Formats: sequence, structure tokens, C-alpha cells
Amino acid sequence: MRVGSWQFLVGSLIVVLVLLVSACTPAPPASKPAEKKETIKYGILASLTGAWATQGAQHKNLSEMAIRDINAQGGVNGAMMELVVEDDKSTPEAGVAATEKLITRDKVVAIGGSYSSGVTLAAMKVATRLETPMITWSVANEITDQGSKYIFRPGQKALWYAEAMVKFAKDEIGANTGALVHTDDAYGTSTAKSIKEVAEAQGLKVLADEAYSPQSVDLSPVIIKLKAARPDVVLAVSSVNDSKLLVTQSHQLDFNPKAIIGGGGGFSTLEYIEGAGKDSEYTFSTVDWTPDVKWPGANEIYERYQKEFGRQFNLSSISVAYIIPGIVAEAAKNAGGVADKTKFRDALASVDMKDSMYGPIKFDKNGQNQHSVLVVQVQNGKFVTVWPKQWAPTSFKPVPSWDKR
Amino acid sequence: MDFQVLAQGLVSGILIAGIYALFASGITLLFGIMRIVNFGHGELLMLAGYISYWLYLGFKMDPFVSVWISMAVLFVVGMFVQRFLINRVLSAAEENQIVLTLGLGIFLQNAIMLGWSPDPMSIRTPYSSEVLRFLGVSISIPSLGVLVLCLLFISIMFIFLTRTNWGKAIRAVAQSRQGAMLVGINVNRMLLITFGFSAALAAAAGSLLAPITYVFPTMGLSYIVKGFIIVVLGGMGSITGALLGSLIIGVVESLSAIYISTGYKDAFSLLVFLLVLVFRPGGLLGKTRV
Repeated sequence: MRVGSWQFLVGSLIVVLVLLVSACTPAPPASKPAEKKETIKYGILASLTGAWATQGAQHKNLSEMAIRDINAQGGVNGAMMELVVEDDKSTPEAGVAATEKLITRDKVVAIGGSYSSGVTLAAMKVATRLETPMITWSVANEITDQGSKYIFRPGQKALWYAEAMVKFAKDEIGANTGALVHTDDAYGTSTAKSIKEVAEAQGLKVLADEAYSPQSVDLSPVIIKLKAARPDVVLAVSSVNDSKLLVTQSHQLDFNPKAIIGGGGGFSTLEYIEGAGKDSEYTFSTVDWTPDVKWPGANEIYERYQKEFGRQFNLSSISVAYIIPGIVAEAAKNAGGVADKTKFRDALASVDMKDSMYGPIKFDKNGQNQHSVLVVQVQNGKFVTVWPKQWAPTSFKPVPSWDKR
Repeated sequence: MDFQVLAQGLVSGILIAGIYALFASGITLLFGIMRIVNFGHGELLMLAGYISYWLYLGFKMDPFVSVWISMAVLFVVGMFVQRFLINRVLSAAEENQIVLTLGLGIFLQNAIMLGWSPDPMSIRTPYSSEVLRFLGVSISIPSLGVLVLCLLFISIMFIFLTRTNWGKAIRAVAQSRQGAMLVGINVNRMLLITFGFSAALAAAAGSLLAPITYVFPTMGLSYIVKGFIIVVLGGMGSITGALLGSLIIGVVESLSAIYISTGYKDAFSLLVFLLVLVFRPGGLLGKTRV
């Protein structure tokens, strides 16, 4: 009777579980004392597990910090803000489920997230259908090109990274030719494609275009090819591991372009500086935010974060998680509360913040903010903002050849 | 493209073959002796990477020193795995063995992810970018060190298996477990040693790689597929085959990346792999099993 006893066991387990769940679900508050003021619920899709777990944890920490800061200053017209965190597991399916839950069960007024463009593209459909604003920190162009009334992006789109890289290479480095290297995954391939288009349109000749696996353990063949092509600059779309290999092996093979410019990704991470050490000096990367940029309060947030969590956060598409609760609070203030959803959405669309820690914020009709892409250079083991001049505290140092370092 | 480019490409291919060979020889040893395909081999490599990383973090120990410690530790870990896990499925169906080793790998990966962190960690050595320049060709010193150690470890393994009594006993076990038992060989002990050696070879690869790339929980995944390709190409169970396979894959990858396209380097190494299998189904140095 093995089967029988199994069935009995499973059956009784289900019964126990059902009982437990119903016991845990709180009964509707029969006579809750009248609340002083409604709370404003803000939800985030954080990738707490899966491929983007590192970034997801940083988004969550920064969101918590922001909500705490807003509440410490008296909240929004006396109403406190409350954060609801959902894990999108770095996958679109989980992101969709989490979005539905945040809107229908938790009744959040706005959603922040997510890191992966795939997750955001899937989740924004749900948010649009349920008429709840979503304020994203992912970068795919399509997100704000679709004309949804419920999507907002304080940061830049991927295309602007490409434009900044090419502009910096041409105007600042004085390059006429470039070589493109990128990972062969979806992110690397699509970003590289737009860099190539921008470069050709702007008159930067692309001499080589090399794709490689992000799991490569040896990139010397790539460097050997680049060395033979003799480009003025290298434009790289990479993850962490390959950024280190690109510079250490460039050093080993004595490949000396005028500049190596990373399009965010690995070249803007702390792991890259830690891993590549001295070889990371003088390399450039585009980022959306830096602690030393001339935006008020930027450095303070960075230092407080480090003190509280014992670790710095990444530079690409992370700090924006701190400003989004501020944008929501601003809109709620202007709309006189969040009870009227249409009024709140319209207030969000017309937010105009001149000096936030994330730069000026004003959405266009697609919900896209004209965010300025920054360029950093590694100087003495630190990322220093060097471009554009309007926001950068210093200028860049010319790159010496390997034998002169 | 001139001679220098070709020479540089060849050198790069040979250097990377060293790492491949260390990793693949562990897989092939296990298969040759025990008929077990260890899908968790990449995670043993990862574990060794972390041991070297922790020793670097705590004592600033150079990976070329800590490799000996991580090999010793992994030898013991390997014996434990054999004694308490693999031994139970040795005569079970192959699917059970696959699920067990795969599960072991997933467990180790996630244990490190939970207990430590998913972030890539790095070991920095003062000589990591040092090179020997010879006729315009650059030879990376750390990679050269890896290649030398790799040849050393594999030679030791080879001498152990062919010249010592224990090695002979292990090969007897490989031929017939029952036969070996009948002539008085302690089969269980030989299997313990074999798994220990296999794990130690993975450890050597992991510790020596740590300063070249990063240490992270899923680092083993980059090698496992390549490892199997090399093993099958060289002939499953043949250590010289694994060496030859590594050399072929390393050089084909490097040259096809330089002369054709980096995006297709895996395609070319797989093409070579398929061609070899078409003409020699048992691999280059393997025996075709009926």
C-alpha cells in the first residue's frame, strides 16, 4: 500500500498547508482606528535573485534610503511613504507576476524598476493596462519609444550612450577611426549595432567589429586583430570579466590605442578596477551618474550608502533608484495626494526638478528625461567624471603608451 | 597579416591550452577509471578558486603558492564526495549518476552564492601583466607559469599511473572492478584516490585561473562544456588525448579568431570536433567501444 500511504501523506500535507495559510492571512480589519493620514505606497521590481542580484540589492537599498529620507523630512504633505519590494528574479515572467501583485494587491501608486530591459518591457505592459505609472531604470530604447502614457525614465536610453561614446572619441580624443569589441549576447550585440550606426553617421570609421563570449578566458586573439587594424580608439561593450581581460591583455600584447572607451557595463564597475588594478588606469567609460558629478547631494548619497552598507554601489543605472521616490513624492505633492490616479499621473508627467542628485528631471511626452550621459576616467584607482564639461569637476588625462607607465 | 601575428596567435593558443588541459585531464581520468562523467567538475574548480581567493584575502598568499593548498583540500573533498555520494551510485543507471553530479554542482554553486556573494572577486598579483618578449611575440608570464605547472602535474599523474604499484592497481580497477577485487586490490581505496586526484586537477586549474580572470560562483560553467568537448575529442579516458585535445582546441580557437572572426571561434573548434568524431568516433586516442 505504498501508493496509498503517499497519497494520504500528500493529501494531509495540503490540508495542513491550506489551514496554515488561512490562519496566517489577516482577517479584514473590522474596526481599525481611523488612520491619521493615508500612506503613499511605492513598489519596486528589484532583481534580488538571478543574474542581476548584485544590482537588485543596490536598487533595494537605495530605495529604502530614499523613502527613509522623505519620511524623516515629514513625508508628503504629512502622509508617509511606504516601500513595497518585490523580487522579479531577473526574469520577465516573474516581473509580470510581481507587477500585477504590486498594483492589485498592494495598491501601490507607482512602480520603480527593473534593471533588465526585458523585465521592464514585459512589466510595463501590465502597468499600462492597469493604469499605474512605472518609472524605470533600464535603458533599452523601445521602452520610451512606444508612447505609453504610464512609463517614465529619468535616465538615458541606450542610444545616448552610443552617441556619447562616439562624440567623446571624436571631439575630445580626436579619433578618426575606431574598433568595436562587444560580448555576443543580446545586450552586447544590440548596443554594438547602435554604436556602429552612430559612428558611421558621425564619420568615425569602424575598422574592426569583434564579438566574443562574455565567458571568455582569453581575449588575446581579439587584441591581436585590433593591433593589426590600428584603430585610434577602442569602443567596448563588455561585462566585468572581459573588461579586465581586454586591458590586461592589451598591456601584455603592447596594444596602444589613443583611448579605450567602455559603454558602461564592465568598464564602470568597481570589480573592474579591483581586478585589473593598474592596467585599468586611463580607461574611459560612459555612465549615467557619478558621486563627483556637479549635481547637488550626489556625493553625500554615495558616502552615506558606503557607511551604511559597507560597500559602494555600481555606477551604471543604480543611483537613479534613489531619485525615483523623490519624483513620486514631488508628483504627489503637486497633485495634492494620490487618491485621484489620473491627476497623479499628470502631475508625474509634468514634474520639473532643476537640481536633484540625478541632475535636472523633466519628462517629454514619451516620459523620457533628457538625461546627460557622463564619461568617467580611471585616475589613481578611482572613477573621475571628465565629460561633459558642464557637469565634470576635472578634465581627462591623455593616455600614455604601456611602456611609459 | 604577417608572421608575427601568426606566431602570436599560436603562442596564445598554446598558453590557453594549458588551462584547458588541467581541467579536461581531471574529467578524463575519472571517466577512464570509474566510467563516471562528473558534471560537477566545474564547481570543484570554482571551489579551488575561492580557496585561493580566501588565502589571498587573509594572508596575501600568491596563487602559485596557494594552488598546492587548494589541491590538497580538494583531494580530500574529492575523497569525501566519492565515499559518501558517488560510491552509492557506482553501479546504478547512468542517469542517476548524471543527476547526482549535476546536483552536486548546483548545490556547490548556490552554497557559495548564499554564503559568500555572487559578485566577481579578484586576486591581484604584481606580475599579472608581465610578459616575455621574443622576436616581437609576447608571452604572458603568469600564463607561461600555468602551462609549466600543468605539464608538471599531468606528468606526475602519468608517471603515477604507469610506474607505481598504486597506479597499476588503479588501472586494474579501470579494466575490471571485479577482476581487481579478485586479485586482492582494495577497489574502494583506489576509487577514493582516483576521485581525489581528479578533484585536485580541477583545483589546480581553478587556483591558477583565479588571478587571470575572476572568482565567482558560476565560473565553472565556462569550462565544463569546453572540458567535455576536449575529452571526447581526445578520446574519453585518455590523458594524452586530453592534452592533445586541449592543444587542438586552443590553437584552432586562437587562429580562427584571428584569421576569420572572434564571433565564430567556437563554431570552428566545434567543426574540428565534429570532423574528428565523423572519422574517429572514439576520439583521437580513444578506443571505440562496442
